[in-house]
Amino acid sequence: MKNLFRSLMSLVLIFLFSVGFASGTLIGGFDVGPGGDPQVIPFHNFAGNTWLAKIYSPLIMMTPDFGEATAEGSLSTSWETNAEATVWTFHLREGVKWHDGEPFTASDVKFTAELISAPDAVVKRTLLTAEGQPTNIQGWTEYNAGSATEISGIVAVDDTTLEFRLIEPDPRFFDSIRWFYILPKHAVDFGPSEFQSTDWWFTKAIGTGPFKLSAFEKDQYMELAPNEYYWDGAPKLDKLINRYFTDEAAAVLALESGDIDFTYVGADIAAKFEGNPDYVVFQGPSFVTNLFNFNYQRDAWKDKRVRQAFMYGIDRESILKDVFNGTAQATPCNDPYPNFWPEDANYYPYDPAKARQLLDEAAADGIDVRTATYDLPTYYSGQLPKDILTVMQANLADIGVNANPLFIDVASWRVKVDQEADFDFTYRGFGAGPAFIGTNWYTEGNQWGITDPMYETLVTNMNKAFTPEEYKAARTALCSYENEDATFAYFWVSTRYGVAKASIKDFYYFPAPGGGPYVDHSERWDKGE
Amino acid sequence: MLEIAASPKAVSPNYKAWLRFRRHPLAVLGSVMFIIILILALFAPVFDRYEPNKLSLADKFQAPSMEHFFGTDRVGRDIWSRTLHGGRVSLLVGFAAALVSMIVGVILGGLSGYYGGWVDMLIMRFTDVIMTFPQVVIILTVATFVGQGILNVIFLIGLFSWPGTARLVRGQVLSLREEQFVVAAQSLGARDFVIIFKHIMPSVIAPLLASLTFAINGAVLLEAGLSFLGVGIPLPTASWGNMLETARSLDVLQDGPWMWIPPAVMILLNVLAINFIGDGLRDALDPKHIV
Amino acid sequence: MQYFLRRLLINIPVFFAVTLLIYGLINLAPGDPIDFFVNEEVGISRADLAFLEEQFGLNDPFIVRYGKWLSNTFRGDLGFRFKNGDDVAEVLRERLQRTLILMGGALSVSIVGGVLLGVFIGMRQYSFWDFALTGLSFVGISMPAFIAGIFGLYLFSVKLGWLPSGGMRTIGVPPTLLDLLYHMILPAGTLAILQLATFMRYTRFSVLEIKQADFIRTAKAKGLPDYQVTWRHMVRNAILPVVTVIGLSLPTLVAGALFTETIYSWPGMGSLFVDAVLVRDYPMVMGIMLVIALVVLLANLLTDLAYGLVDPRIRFE
Repeated sequence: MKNLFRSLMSLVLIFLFSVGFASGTLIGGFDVGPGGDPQVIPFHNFAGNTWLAKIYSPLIMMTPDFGEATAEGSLSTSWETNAEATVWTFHLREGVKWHDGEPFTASDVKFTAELISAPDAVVKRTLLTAEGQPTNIQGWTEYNAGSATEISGIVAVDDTTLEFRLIEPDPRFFDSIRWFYILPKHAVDFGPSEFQSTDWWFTKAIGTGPFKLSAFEKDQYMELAPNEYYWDGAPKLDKLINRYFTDEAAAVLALESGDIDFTYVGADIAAKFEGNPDYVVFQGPSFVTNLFNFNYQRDAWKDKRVRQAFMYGIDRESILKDVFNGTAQATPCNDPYPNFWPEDANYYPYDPAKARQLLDEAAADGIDVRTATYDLPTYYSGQLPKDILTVMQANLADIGVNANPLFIDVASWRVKVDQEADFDFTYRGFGAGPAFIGTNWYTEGNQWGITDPMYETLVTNMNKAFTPEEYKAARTALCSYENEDATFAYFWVSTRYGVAKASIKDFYYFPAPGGGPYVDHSERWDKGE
Repeated sequence: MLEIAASPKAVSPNYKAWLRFRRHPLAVLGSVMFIIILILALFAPVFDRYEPNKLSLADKFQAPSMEHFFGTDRVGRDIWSRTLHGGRVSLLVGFAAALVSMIVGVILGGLSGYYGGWVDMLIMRFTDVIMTFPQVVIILTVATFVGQGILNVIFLIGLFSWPGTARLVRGQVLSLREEQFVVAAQSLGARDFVIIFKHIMPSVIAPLLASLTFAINGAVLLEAGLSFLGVGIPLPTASWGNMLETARSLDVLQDGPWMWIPPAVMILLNVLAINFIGDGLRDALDPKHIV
Repeated sequence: MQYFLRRLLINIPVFFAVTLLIYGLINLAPGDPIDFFVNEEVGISRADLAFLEEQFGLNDPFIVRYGKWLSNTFRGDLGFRFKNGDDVAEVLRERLQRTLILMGGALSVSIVGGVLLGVFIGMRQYSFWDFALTGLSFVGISMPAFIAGIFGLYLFSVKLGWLPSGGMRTIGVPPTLLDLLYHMILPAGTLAILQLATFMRYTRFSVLEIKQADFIRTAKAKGLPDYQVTWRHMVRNAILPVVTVIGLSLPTLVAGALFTETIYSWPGMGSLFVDAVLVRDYPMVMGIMLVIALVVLLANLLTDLAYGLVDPRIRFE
């Protein structure tokens, strides 16, 4: 008994000691999903930018207001284009050094582009540019096919000047290389085919970011130390640790017990921390619109009245208020950016009577969606999406439509939706950037069979738009048309959250996992007493 | 035991077992518990106070009260009603899956024991292969790609739970095969099929019954486990497993214990009751077992 | 020995059938490395999909792929994870180690606790303790890991705050054994409950049986002191059959680890399996299934061996 007591006491002491020891160390669950994945590597995933940008730097970043691209915190200081928007010149920051003290030059940029575009590269095509269209860079296709020894369209003019030469004009090219993290030519010791299998990322990683790799334990954590060469001054923290969590509950419990200082959380959990003086809640839009994606290859959805009935039939107000607890915003179209929403958009207020009437009218013309039972697949998981779909299912039942929510994994999703288009409608997300919107959803070759010439016109106009004003007008026009047509049933953009201890100084977090990276000046973060 | 053996009347061994079962205190306790659970589940529409799937966002996340005995969940459904109706689904899956596994097990075990030789060899090695994996491992793997649905869950559990039964039946058949009445039937030219099902099976029924109770338990637990991992009974149908799954979301675990404690306790009580019954049955059927 | 060799030989075709089953099952399932390149919120066009499929060469016939996989497997090459390109074998080694730590802890607690308590109540049949512990053991064997885990997490971590909610060490400080033990209490305890109850019941039963045995009566008649009879003769003989149960408890432990590790985010093989299955990281899934099969087959063999040692009659079967 005495021994037991003694060992318990020593446990307690160790515990106290370890907490005291941790000052100057910031431990968090960063970026991806509930807890953050410290194993993310550049050019491999679509998320993880908050963490990646601590170690590596891209040429441009996004401003904290989620709007424009910025040179702040990135490897270039400015950029410009020629009149046709076919040649983009980036002026690189002078005096930037890699973690090992070697100077950073434009040739590193070219090296990185060629590393990930090589014929035997395991990752490519989707990765050099955020929208997955590097084919617009001159010579990329030839290099990728192995018939050229370099990407001729990427030119290191001198150590601090870099040119991208495009085939087609792209007035918003700068925005599409936000995820293009630059790797050191002198220190990368693996070939393109070993991109994923090398352990360079976890043992020898070198970047130009404010922190450098100091320790890593698989599926446990990654530990970073300050980069004394960082061009904007060495970080104040002694250690920055990204701890791996498999689910949100574990991460939040760790935050509450003081094991970690910060974590990404879901909307329902964020509400618990709101108003608690010990914590700061960070929030930002997800830039993903959730919607019903109708399959136009099946006749029912070709009728606009049916689609509109689905919008009138879902009780958006209640879901936003009671299920999201006000953490999401209604959208008028696919576009998740409010600055492209027309002022006169129809938000289809909840009106089940009108929905039933529209369905009656469609039924009178031979299209009745109330006779069958539809599967409603989604790739979302977790409690909140389950609650949402439960309510939607009840709403739809109220207007006579039988839908069965199906929670499927990404692999089944890809077969069912992307390849075979074997669905009636799905609940899914549509993501976009401030200068990019995935028009392949409704232009030629889309998987759900939309054949509306109006879209071709609208999209062409938007792509041609040169100035930001023209672009805004054209993108807003696209939104207006989508809204009136109810091409899909657009619902909401949710807000994403992070919770940090209030005691961390100058901490900033932008919880938009798919977007970014955002300028958060992590070199200024501090955890002094 | 002695008295029974000395009793002048010829009593069937199954009847003797029943007498022993009736006197087994745990078996009686288990039976009572199980009957209560069964009644609550079967007559759920009588005992419930709300439609189990009826949501009411205005009443969400309420603690237990006179309005809602066990409170409400995140979309305002009544937990008491969902626990009752969830029991129906969980027990349905338990019974049906156990039945499927019994059928497969009896057929494979019967064939194996009766024919022996390479048939036996093949079937038993196949059994070994299936038994190499903990059921949940193999079912979880398959469940992710056959899709959700009550029927899928039943068949998945049933089709991967038979090895125990098959071995049991094989052992019984093996020992009965040499008995005189079987040999006699064979010499009279009875068909194999008839011999197996008419002459051999009746003697196998009693031990099967005990193994059935454990199979039901196994199936109820597997359903709950699969639903807990998110691949079991699809929404909005309630089952004890998918109600328990809500506890994986932190605000429910922390602030809404009424949402997950009832299904957890029901699973526990149900398993406990069936274990009592199974234990009683085993003791009753195998008197040597009682110490 | 001959018996053991025969069992060993039987297990070889079983092992091959197991590999075929694993590979065949996985082949029925959709899912390939491409999934991890597709951003669902942006979508992917059919042309891009075709491009990627060609890149990954996913079009060989089944037998060819199975043969390739099997021969790679025998060379210790289990392939790379779809998710992040990690070497499966390497990840498995690390994860297996952590799971073995957890299972080892749970198993030691349950063997020591189960046997001691079993002997204790076996010696006091029909006493208060016998009824109380036998009753509790019923609850123990009826308690699935996911319920025990959720209750444990709720009580000791969320409500009382005594124990950490997950992980296997305090991050940010050098690892210590005590810190590991501290993180192990909840998950290992959860995993141990069922085994402890099982071992206790077996020990009790075995003690009761031995008590009736002739040699015990002889020992008593010889006038040996009680404690000596109890410990030297009875307990030793009573424990032997229990040893064989331990091998059979492995599949249950593995299944329990799946849930326990998931609930307490223990970075072992069980939580990895659940993750990998749910995102269809098949090289990983196959690797783990293979390891589980090997462990179970090995445990069966050892159990057979143990049976043979305990009960010599088996050799002549």
